[in-house]
Amino acid sequence: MNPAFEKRYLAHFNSFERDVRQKTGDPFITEGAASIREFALAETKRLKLNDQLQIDALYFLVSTLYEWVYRPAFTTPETKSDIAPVMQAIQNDITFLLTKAIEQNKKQDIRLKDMVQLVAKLWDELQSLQIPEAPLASDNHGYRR
Amino acid sequence: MRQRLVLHLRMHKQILNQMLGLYDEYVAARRWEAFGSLESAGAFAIKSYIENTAHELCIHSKLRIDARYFLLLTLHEMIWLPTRVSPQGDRLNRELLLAIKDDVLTLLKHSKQEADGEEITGEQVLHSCHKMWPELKSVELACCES
Repeated sequence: MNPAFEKRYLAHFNSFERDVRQKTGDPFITEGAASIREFALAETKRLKLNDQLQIDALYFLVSTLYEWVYRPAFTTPETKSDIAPVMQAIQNDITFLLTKAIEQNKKQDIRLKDMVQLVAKLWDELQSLQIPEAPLASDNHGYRR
Repeated sequence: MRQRLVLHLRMHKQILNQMLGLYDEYVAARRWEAFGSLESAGAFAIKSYIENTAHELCIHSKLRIDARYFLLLTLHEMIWLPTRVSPQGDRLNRELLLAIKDDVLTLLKHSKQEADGEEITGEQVLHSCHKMWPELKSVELACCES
């Protein structure tokens, strides 16, 4: 990756928690965002992926799981009151995706396009991504534009 | 265990409705940030491209909110934010936004074709990102492939 862009991705990744705090002003959702980021970092280290996993791929994983799964779940009263299964699903998916990334990429770098490919390929097996994909209620079309 | 978890999660269809609010708030929440006008302009522009392209392709009623939100997040968080240059680099920023605009069209066209008249979901848009990756102009500009 171009070093200049790597530096920018890294800056965004490092300021992830602060940015969430500024944008939401909510200490609880910030705590959830920080947990996702820290868990992803810990798993990267545990699986010895530090050199292989590129920052754009890691940022995509953390940012998507937070913005697209955790945050909508956290702002929905029904799931906010029982957020633990959502966080557990996110953590399971991070471990699953990183493990599969090792298998797929062997010793090669894991980049953004590889992570997009992996998520697309494994979509049905990713627990947390089933949350926004839930089937629609016939009486609930308020989300339509 | 997994089945129980999925069933538990599938109970919460209201999440899609929450996404509608987050999608609308996404631009507004960026109005006062550092690089304020630039960051906000990027989010505003990308959201406009999504809405306008959906109209152009006659998929406005088929494009689900999870698909719109996923597209906005991906293009803004993964492309615009790390790639945009300082406020002085107006020409390059405009070039990047034009590339993103083309990519929105490329991705939604592909999603429409694949959906074949059905609703376009977040999953479909992600698959389109994967399939159309080599043709995405903004990715090329972001030097991710270098």
